[in-house]
Amino acid sequence: MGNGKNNQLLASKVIGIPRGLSYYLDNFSWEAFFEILGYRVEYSEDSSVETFEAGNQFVGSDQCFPVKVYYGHVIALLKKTTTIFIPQYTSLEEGTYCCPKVIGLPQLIKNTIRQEFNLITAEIDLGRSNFTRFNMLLLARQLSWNPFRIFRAVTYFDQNRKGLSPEIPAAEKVVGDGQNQGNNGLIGVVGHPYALQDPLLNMGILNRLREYGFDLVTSEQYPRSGAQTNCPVYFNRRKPHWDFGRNILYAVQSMLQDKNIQGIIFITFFGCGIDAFLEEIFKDHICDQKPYLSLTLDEHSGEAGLMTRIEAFSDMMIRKEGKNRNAG
Amino acid sequence: MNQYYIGVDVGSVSTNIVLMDSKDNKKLSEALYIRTNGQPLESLKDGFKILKDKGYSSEDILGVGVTGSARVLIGNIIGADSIKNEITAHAVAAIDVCPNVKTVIEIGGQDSKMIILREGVVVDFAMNTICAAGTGSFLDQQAFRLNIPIEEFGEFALRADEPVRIAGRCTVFAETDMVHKQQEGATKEQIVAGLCEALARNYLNNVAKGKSIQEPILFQGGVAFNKGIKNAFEKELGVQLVIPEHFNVMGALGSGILAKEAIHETNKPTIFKGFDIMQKNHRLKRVDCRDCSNACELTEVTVAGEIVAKWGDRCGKWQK
Repeated sequence: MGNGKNNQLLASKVIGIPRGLSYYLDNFSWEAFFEILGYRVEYSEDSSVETFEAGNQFVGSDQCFPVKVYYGHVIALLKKTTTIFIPQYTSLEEGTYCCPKVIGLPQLIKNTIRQEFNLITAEIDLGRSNFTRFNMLLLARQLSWNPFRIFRAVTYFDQNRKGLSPEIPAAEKVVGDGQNQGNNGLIGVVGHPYALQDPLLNMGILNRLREYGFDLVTSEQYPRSGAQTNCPVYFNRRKPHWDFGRNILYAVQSMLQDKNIQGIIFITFFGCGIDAFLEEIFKDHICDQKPYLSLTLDEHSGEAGLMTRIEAFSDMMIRKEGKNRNAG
Repeated sequence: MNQYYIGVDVGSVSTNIVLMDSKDNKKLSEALYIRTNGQPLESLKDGFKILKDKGYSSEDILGVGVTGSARVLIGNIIGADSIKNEITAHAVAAIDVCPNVKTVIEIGGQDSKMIILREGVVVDFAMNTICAAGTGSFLDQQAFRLNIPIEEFGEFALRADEPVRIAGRCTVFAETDMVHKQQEGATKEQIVAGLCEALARNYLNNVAKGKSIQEPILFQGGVAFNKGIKNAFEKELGVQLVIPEHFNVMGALGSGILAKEAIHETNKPTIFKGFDIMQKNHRLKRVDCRDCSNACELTEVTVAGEIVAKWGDRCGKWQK
């Protein structure tokens, strides 16, 4: 560590970032950060079955599907570069924590993939800004000897990563009367960011739903924290311990209030501890207010069960609408 | 001359075919319940042969609806006017039988469902997730283990004075538990009754969790034949369950009704290819698509040397 003496790193000048899990969480551009320090960032390609299979051989059976796919991304990147950067997110907010698998990710990867490679990481705890800034300084010092560059990189991090946005992102304002709704209406899809964005993980559900004529609004389009004014504390409980789940919880609260949203689909992965808590809350609170479907996914490639559920959900909403129309 | 709609439900355990009178949904001319034995095409072939032998002609069929886990496969081969999922099919049939039904409990071979309806509209449903514990296949297996014909399973349960408690969450644990209880000297009757209760409990804890179960409740699917299970449900819920007349072919009945709806809506003649289509030589082949890195497993169906359908792809290009 220290003072740009990491020769292996300096030699390659290319840093690989796997596209999985916390990658989707980032609204911060690591690419720009590393560029200041004089490095080029190489991202892994879209997940595919190959990615998953490559990763699967390294992972114990108790890991969830997204983690298995993450391994695959690391393996794929190691063909291009010997340096991998995995940020270690421990907390996004004071008093809450990330998923334990995300917290332990760098160590997990380093200790299970036997191939020799250079792993760089930095602990990011957004509830403790000085601590995080110090970690970023250490990270930058590993990569460069130039104090100006180090200073600029850390400043860049500070300026661009100031906790979670308390503002409502523009996307949420789209939801409303003016939105161009699909023939069959608007539904809310909630889940962790990687579940919503990686089509391998979610088996292309979002596209399927669009094919069925639904318009979608996802939990990502909702604000995270600090926006309680927007969402009343519907479920009347304490802050959840896991901040990965908070976004989903708040999104669902807002969705229940929104008259345009006709149904809610929750995408979760088998064995996810965080989602297990959320599911219980949702079962108690959503079911009697809006059509609700919880889809538990795993690595099964057979789509029959999934399609049955989505079709039934879609039929349920269409037939309900049809009935309402006939009655009115 | 009578005209009919056909409803087909190809499930994992049984293949059901109903011949529904075109004028009256409630009049079923035929209701076949055939064991699938892992070969949906063969069982349907048998079913169609029975219908043909009974003198029904393909010309009298106004429409065909298919449901069940093999619906896409079968629907493509026989030319179905409606290919719908089991939940919709079961709900439609339940509404037809009992218009004010509020809850449907359906336990089939490999999945169990709960459908909540209000004023003739599905408002909520649930299916068992990854594990098939507590479904028909499980009962089948245990009946075989205990050497009881599955048809008498319910009778056995009713004869028990005091059921033993058996873990119902997982089939493997349930089996272990059964062996232990046997060693402790429990009778077959008690064990069977215990199993029925475990299944009902498992269903209510997993599938029916958080749902408001209101009367009237219809209990359908093959497992409804088992009086032991019905009893266990009634004991657990404290209400009466209604078992419809055609409880074991409700899915098929529902898909028949859906076919009728589809035909009325589009006003087009049926695309049914006739009973003989199943007698032709059809072949199923697994092929790997190598066009991209997803390497999807495709299923290819050939009837008399001609490829009629291909599916299983993530991108959807073969399905067209």
